[in-house]
Amino acid sequence: MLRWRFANLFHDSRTLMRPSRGLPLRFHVTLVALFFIAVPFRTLGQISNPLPQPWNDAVRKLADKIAADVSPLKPLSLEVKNISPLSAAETLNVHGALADELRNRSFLLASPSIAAAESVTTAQVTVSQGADGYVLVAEIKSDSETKNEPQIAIVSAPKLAPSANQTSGEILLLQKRLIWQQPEKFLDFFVWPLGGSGSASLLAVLEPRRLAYYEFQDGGWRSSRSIPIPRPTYQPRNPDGFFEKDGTRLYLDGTACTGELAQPETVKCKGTGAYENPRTLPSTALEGVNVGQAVVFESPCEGHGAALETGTGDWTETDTIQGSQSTNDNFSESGAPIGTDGPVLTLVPGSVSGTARIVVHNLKTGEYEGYVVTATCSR
Amino acid sequence: MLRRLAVVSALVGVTFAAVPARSSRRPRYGGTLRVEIGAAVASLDPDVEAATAEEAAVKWQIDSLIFDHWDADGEFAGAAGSGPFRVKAFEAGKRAELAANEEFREGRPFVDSIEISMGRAAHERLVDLELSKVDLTEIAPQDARRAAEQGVRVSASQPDELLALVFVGGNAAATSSARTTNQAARQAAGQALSLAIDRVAIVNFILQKTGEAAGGLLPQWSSGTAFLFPAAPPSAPDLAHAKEQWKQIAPSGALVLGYDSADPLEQSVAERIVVNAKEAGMALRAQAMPGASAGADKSRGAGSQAGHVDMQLVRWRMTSPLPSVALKDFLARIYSGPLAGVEAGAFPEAASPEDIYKQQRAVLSTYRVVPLVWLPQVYGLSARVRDWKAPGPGENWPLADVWLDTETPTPTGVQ
Repeated sequence: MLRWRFANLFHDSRTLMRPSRGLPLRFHVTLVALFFIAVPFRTLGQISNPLPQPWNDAVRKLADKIAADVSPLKPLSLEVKNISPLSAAETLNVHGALADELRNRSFLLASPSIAAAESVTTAQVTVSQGADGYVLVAEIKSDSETKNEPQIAIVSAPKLAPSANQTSGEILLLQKRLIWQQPEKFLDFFVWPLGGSGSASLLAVLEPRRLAYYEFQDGGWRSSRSIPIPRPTYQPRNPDGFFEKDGTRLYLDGTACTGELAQPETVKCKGTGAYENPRTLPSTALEGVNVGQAVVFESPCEGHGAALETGTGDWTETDTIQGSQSTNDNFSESGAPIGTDGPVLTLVPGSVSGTARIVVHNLKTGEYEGYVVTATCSR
Repeated sequence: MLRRLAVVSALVGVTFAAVPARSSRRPRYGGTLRVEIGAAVASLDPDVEAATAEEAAVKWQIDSLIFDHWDADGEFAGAAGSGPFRVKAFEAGKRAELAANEEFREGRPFVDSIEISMGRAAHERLVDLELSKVDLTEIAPQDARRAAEQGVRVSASQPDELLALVFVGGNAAATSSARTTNQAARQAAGQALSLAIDRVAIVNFILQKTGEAAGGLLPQWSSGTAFLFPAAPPSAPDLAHAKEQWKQIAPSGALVLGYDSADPLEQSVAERIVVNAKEAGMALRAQAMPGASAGADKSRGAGSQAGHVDMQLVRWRMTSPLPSVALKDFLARIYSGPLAGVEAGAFPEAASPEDIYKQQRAVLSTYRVVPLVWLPQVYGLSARVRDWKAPGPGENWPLADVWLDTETPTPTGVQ
């Protein structure tokens, strides 16, 4: 089951879809004034809802279940506790969204001080996590039923946290964008942007036994062609394969592909037979260099070289990408690392300077994920 | 380390790398992985039934290394040797030697061979690990902390094995009124025991904190809702309630709690439960059951067919990390064992978290099954073992992915 995750790799929707800015000055003044009046009075539940749709759906379902169990005629005290890896900010967003949903169902939410003084119903919501993903659990207690067991309402939430892991650095700022995700292992991927003749963007995903092509159509990646890669029965456990920097060639152990990679109909792959016995493959091309995988490129900050480096843990652990910059002959860490939910199996230079492609085996979901990591200079 | 990156950049020169560097942590090929196990495996033939649950578990692990896949019904299929390894030598109950399958579908394993020594006692395995005579072995959960303190590299899975107390014996032959009275008495006794048992103390003192107190039939990491089944130490009101329940039963003699005589952990836990019961004014005695580890019945909690015990300890391993799958398996054991004859509620194919919670609540409210603690699977590793991950429920030993690092010393301690 394949699916696309990030459509606008090379299209900045914020600029393409931005409406006209031609508002009269008096509207600007009014809007600014409204903003300063409104902000001090905003409440938790009135924060614009920043949760992604699947999380909103889960919150809505929980609100429905609470509404089915509790009469909106009595004030409701809502408490949200987090025992999952969700951050405090994300928990606050869940709290806000749930409060909004309950208000939309005519509930009067009581503040904790009122709740202590008056007879109210209490909904204690716990954000928890299981093997299937996050769960939202509401324990609902009416003041008249304090001796009874609370009513329980449970809904499942997505596997992934609401917000992506983004960390800003002080000098070399790294950001990663998910491009592709699939359950089957893949070694590398490459995106050819929109062609000058109006042809669609093209994504190639290099798997050990096939080269899969996808075209960007109707807002998503659609499978367009699959080129089998004949393999001998004898193969290494960790076949090495990647696209070269400009996407004109690919390298894959024991295989030769001919044709223009950007024109799938011309591509043919065959086993070369020149297949190295994995036992004779070098474990490292740079003996004695005790680092994880690394790529070096021209730094986006002037006059420096820069490097991206993975961690050195096992492939059973989460990983990081750390940026470094060269000063004189030495590299020193620059900015904060970005984390990944599993080991970085592939790290190769991207087609644009200051970028790299990584393939991560997500240990939480079991899926393989392709990201573009971009290093920018933060001054 | 970063200084060395300068070497990398010097090598790639001013063109700035167009070819990816290789990682030093990329797996290496070669070497023999030495494994020691406690069980003695009589045959690797999947059709030959194992004599004990321990043997069956280890046999399944070895078979998963030599068979490529399973049938839909979970039986191994295909030819022996189609998996990542093939059998090079086998001496029943003593040793097995497996060689890497050069033509394995998913790629040749990293190690050349695996030597498995069988029938090694727990203390022998630990000593061999300390002397670097073995690379991988199982460690009992209660020994994990001591092993780590002695410098052994320890790897533990998520807690996935439930140690529980279940009531045994049927009453199908009894009259309807007698059955009702009996059921009520069992329920009261179960509730009293559940209130009186100090699960946290079992985890802290017997298991040396290697495990988790269990209140539900699934661990928190799997269901996400285990916190709804509290497992806190008994409070004074809990003990008072337990005494009250016990008085209502007024049994003629002490209840008997059976445990597997070959399992030191079960023995310690049973003795601790007797102490807890005494504190709540209950009469309970522990009794070793010599045949408890034989066959698969022990794991089902079908219990003492001889009828000498009222309840017994069972160890149930989850078959899947997915809560619905694991619970379905547990329910099958429960409704064929301690709740035999009781009609099971409908369990939807695509069970929601709320369905899973309700099913657990329904079983636990009978008090015929009293969860005690969750145990992890613990392994001791030599310093050279890399890319090992303690297998989760339903997973195999990942020995095709393991490689041996003869250069980098690995820190000891719990992973």
